[in-house]
Amino acid sequence: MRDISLHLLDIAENSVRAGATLVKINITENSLMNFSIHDNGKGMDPDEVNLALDPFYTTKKERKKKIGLGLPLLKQNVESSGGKFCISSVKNSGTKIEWTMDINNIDVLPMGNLVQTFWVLIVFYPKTEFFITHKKNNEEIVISSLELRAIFEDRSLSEPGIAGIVKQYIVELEETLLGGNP
Amino acid sequence: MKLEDLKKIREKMQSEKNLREGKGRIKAVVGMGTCGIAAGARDVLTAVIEELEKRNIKDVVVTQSGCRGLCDREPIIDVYEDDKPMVTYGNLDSEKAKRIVVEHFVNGNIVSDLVISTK
Repeated sequence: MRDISLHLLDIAENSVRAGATLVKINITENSLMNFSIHDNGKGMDPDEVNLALDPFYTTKKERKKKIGLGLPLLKQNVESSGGKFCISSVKNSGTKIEWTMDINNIDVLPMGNLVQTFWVLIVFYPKTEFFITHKKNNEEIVISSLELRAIFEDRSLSEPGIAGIVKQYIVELEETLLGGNP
Repeated sequence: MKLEDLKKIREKMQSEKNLREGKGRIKAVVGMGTCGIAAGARDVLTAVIEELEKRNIKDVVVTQSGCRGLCDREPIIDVYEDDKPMVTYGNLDSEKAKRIVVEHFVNGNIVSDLVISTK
C-alpha cells in the first residue's frame, strides 16, 4: 500500500464488509496528523483484534492463502515512523481504528489522493453512509454521503454523469483546505 | 460548488430510468479488496467512470466487490452482460481500463489480450 489514502480506503472497505451502515472518518492535519475510522459494524472480541493485526490471518473466505496484510502493514509503518496506532473494538457494536503520524518524520507515508478515496467510498458503497471530516490550516470540511444521497434522491451516485459531479464537489471542498498558510 | 448547486443540477436532470439498481446494459464490477486496492483498483475504477462520462455512456453500471480470490491478477474487472458469458479482465491499469470501455462497452468487442477468464 503506497500511501495513507489507500490504507483509509482499505480500512473502510473492511468496515463495509463487517456490516457497518455508518463509517465516520476524521482527519486532522497539524504537524502531528491524527486519523480515525469509526464504524458500527459487527466488531471483534479481543482475540479477533489480535488476529486482525496478524499478517497471517484474514477473514476473507475467497483467499486460499490466509494472509491479511492491510492493517498489520499500516501499524508497522505508523510505529516505525514515530506514530502511535490503536485499535479498539466491541463485539456487535463496532470498531475504531486511530493513529497518529508525525508529518516531519522522514519515514512517514505520503498522504496520497484523499479526494479519490473519499469519492470512491461515497459513490460506490451505496449501502453504507460515510461521514468524513477533514481539518487543516484551521479550516474544516465535512463530506456526508447521507446529504449527497438526499440531493440525488432515487438516482445512484455512481451513475456516469452524477459520479463526476460528486467528485468535482469533493475536489472543491478539499481545495478550501489549501488556503490559510500555504 | 455547494450543496445548493448540486440541488440545482439534480433538478435539471431528466428523470431517466435506465440506470436504476443495476438495470444497465452492462454491469462492470471492480475488485476492491486489499489486494485490488494495493494493485491500483482505485485508479482503474476512476478511469472507467471518467471514460464513460467523457463518452456520455449512460447504460453501464459500475460497482465494486471485495476480494475475488484472484489477488495476483488484480486489478480485476468482471463484466456482466445479458445473455453473454461473464468476462473477467485482469492485471489492469488506467489505460487498459479505458480500452475496455472503448472496445468492449462501446464497440462490443471483447478485449481478448486482457481477458483472464470467461464463464
